[in-house]
Amino acid sequence: MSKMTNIPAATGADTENKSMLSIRNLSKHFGSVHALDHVDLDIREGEFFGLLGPSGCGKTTLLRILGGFETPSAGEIMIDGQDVSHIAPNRRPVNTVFQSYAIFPHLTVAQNVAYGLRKSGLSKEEIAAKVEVALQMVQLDGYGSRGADQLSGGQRQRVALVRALVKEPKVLLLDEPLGALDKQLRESMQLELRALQKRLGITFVFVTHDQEEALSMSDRIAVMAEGRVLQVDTPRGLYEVPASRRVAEFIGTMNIFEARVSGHERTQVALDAGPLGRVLIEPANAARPEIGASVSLGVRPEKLSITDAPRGAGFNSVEGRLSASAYFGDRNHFFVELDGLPRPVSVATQSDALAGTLPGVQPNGEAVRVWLNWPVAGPVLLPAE
Amino acid sequence: MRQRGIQSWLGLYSLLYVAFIYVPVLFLPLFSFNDGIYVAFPLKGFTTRWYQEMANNTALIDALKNSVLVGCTVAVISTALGTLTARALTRYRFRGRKTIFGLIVVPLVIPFIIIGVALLVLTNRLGIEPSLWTIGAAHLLIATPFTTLIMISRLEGFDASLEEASQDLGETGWMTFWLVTFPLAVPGIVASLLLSFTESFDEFILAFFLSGNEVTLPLYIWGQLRFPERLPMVLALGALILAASFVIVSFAEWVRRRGVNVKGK
Repeated sequence: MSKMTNIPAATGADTENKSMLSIRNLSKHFGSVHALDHVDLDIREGEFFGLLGPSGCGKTTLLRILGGFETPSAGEIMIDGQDVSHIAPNRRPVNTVFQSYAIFPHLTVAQNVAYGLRKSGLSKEEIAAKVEVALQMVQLDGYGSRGADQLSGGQRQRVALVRALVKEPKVLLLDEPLGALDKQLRESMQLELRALQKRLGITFVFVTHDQEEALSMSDRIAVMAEGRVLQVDTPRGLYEVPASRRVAEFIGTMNIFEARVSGHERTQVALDAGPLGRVLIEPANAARPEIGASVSLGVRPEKLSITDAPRGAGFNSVEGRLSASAYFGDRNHFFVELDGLPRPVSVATQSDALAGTLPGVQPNGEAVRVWLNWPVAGPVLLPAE
Repeated sequence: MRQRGIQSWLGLYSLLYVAFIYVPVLFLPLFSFNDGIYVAFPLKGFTTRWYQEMANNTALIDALKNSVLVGCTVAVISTALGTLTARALTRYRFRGRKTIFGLIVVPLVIPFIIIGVALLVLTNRLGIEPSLWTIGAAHLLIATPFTTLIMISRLEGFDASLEEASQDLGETGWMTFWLVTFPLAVPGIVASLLLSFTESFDEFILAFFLSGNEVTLPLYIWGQLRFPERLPMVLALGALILAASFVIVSFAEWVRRRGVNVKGK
């Protein structure tokens, strides 16, 4: 996939293919509820892996099973070649950063970080030195003697992180690691966390319901729903080439049009898309459905453009009515109604892209006639649902 | 100024309320230093002879020792049972959990006189001689619901992932209990020990039904009330117990306030 060449080869070629964590056929039932349903996953050494999904999709259950806090109903987990499915949490080569951070309130920061080293066989001095180095790593040097209640949210998060990292786990599990932080802090911690992970080379598996967080931090993401893994891919892959409507609609916004395949022309597919008329596209995915098949055509809002005349060759164009707009500072959202479509089409542009070229929505709410264009290359064809 | 009128009435009400609670109790130390047998005004002279008499009364001291012994034993055992029960009820989801919780709390609302009769019948049928042991067992029965409730409220207040974090960092379940659960539960444990000790120390009805040759302090005091000349000595004892309670409760409150914030947030 040529689109992925601009992703830095951070994990390095030597570790690219080595599987650190494999999950085989894993299921978990709570009574009659299937929290996990035949999950298979392979996570590579040194990978920053995201588990993304809405609440109740099973991602937290999966993380708790990896940590050893829940036992699977069926299936197995291999970490670095060792079957850990029935090994107690305290004997697994994994450590967890809990959602609440779980900083021991009766211990100081240094005692918290040293907690996991009690059984390491190191002397008191060696442990103290190790704790000091660990605290420096997250810019908390000098905080060792503080109590947990004297720390800010971001500092607690760092303590939880180094407390787990001093154990030198093969896999670090993080449960909504940035969920308790406010937005600005979260964004800087995302960068910091990723830089730290790349430096240490430890495999990170983290759970989040925040798609932006997942996209910005992960090497690869598993999108989950109702106890199943829907798709595993790089952030770019998931966004550009989703495998199903559910993934397409969960990650970002996707305009979906129902269509029927009417013909093939070399790499291009001709569609009869109802209200849109005849559409020619070159799908980003390898989908080549046969003639007559029902498909869903997916176009991201930022692939669409609005003009006062059709854009011509290389684009599909259709006339519609600009019915609403929303200003987000860095970008504008426009909503264009097309005859015969129940929902308006969503279009995103950079704020200055349309300045002065479009009349915009009239103050009296009267719709403006515009042309909606999207390139032939780039949309995806998804199985109709 | 209507506002001020209401406030002064509230002030008076508060004063009366506090007086209602403490004045009767304060008669104890007052008359324990009164140089006279009868509890009546006017006060006669100041004396400490009732305290001397009390210290020399071996029967009274024995009864006090018995009560402290039974009270401490009951406090330790009921707190241990309460802590373990509370842990099971707050940390695990198992079948019959709610039923068990209900069964544990019910003894709180059974009148002591009923429990007393039942235990008397039971010990008789089983041929168990009444003794401090039977009193202790009865007190354990009534104290454990209290200790369980206290410990449940303490354990529910702290983040379960603290215990998971300990195991995650390599400790066994048992060490996790000693390194994390126990230190965080200490304020609850202190409260539980105090309450269960008090519950046993001043309990009369069950002790009355189940006592053998050795009596507890409430039974001894009850027995002495027939002899007017011994009343001042009982007042002296009461004053001492009052002083001790004050010290202990202040200490417990101090422990509770320095108790760490266990929410983990």
